Amino acid sequence: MRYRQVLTDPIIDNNPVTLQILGICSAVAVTRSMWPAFVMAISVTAVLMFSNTAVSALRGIMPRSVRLVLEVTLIASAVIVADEALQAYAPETSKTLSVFVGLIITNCIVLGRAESFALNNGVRASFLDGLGNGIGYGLLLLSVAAVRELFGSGTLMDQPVFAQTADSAIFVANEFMALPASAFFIIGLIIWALRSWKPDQVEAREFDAEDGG
Amino acid sequence: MAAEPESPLRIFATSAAIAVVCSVMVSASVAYFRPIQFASAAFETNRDILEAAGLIRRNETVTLRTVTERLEHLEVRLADLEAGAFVAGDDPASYDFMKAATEPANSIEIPAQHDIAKLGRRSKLMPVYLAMEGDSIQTIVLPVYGKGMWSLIEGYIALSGDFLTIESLVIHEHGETPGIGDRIESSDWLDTWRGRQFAADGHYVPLKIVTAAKTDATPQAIDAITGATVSTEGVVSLANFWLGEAGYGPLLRTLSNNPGQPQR
Repeated sequence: MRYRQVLTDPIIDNNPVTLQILGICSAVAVTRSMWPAFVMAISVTAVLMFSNTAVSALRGIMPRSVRLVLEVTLIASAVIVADEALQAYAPETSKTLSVFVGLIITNCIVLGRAESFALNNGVRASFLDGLGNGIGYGLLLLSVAAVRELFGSGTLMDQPVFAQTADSAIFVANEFMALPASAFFIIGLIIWALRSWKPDQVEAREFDAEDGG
Repeated sequence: MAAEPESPLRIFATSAAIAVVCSVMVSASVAYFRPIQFASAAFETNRDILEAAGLIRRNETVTLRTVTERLEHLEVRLADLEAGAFVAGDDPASYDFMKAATEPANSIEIPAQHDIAKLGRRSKLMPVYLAMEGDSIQTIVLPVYGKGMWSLIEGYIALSGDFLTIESLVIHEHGETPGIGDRIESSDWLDTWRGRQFAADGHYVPLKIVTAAKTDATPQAIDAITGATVSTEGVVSLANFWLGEAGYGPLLRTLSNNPGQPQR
């Protein structure tokens, strides 16, 4: 039961993007269409599972004073392997994702989970936590990408949904959706919707506004 | 984790061990993936050449086997651009003209007034791909490249057997602005290149950018992409450079004067 919770919690109830507001930069950058977002989600999940497992396994022998450096070394190695694999098996997508695969190293979710979870939990739980957070991140990424691709290009997973020809001008591509800034609005709306559905996700106010000020 | 004092020796030893393990992992993966990456790159290149030649449809999903099979329909030749003639060479398909362009012995400096694609130098020899029908050339595919807004745009232009009508343009690689400049890859725009001509009355006439090519009767008219003026100009300039006198011009003239079997 506990393991299942570790896996399913980060998907909606404790989603790394919508609740912890981590990994926003990549969620903005790679969500123009669904396929690159999917590949990115898989890569982040793979790196998360590896780094969480490795950090958890080594947590007993890693000297505390240099643990951050060592964690980043482990994460960076996993990211390089993922990047090389993408260049080999999905070169087109790898070009689309460009620097953002390498930037998984700086994705706050990866180091965040290593520091806050893997360092204090067993290998199996850490592995599942990595998988769960990867799925949560991927789900958000794909939701944002679906909206952006549908309204920005009229396709879903590169399959045409809205006909876009000169004769039948029913659908006009929304140029804004092709730009990264649109992802901010979509993520914002998703967070709003989630917190209306599950009010316990709303953070407590840190400071109360002064009355009548 | 017990807060036992950590000796510098232990910190050093643990860090070194983890670093060594990580570096072995990285090196092993690079060594393992490198050949696959080369194969993938060659696959993409061949795919684009076949698409330019009309042997693959634009959005067709193809396997390595189909690409290898259909490549059999194309003949690869090395061409000396200045002489306008084919030359002998082993394995012309793998001739690295990008690398040759940086080697003084294998390249020439492009005269400034001709250098509209902003390349500086180009390789003396270029590989070209011929689709033959009996003894005559049905389609010729020419590798082309030039500067766009941010990046080097690489592509392939296919000409029909009259050597003055464009059959298709395929963009192989570019790094133009996502959502704006990358529309040089959009089917709608690439389709406007089909049937355009860069010659009139037997003379070379460069392609030019217009705002509504679909209604423009001029055979040289290419549509401007709204908001992507520099990228559009980049592609049109590189086409004009390579199809012109400083590019494939002499070769195309030789071929149209000798419609028979192209000489070795």
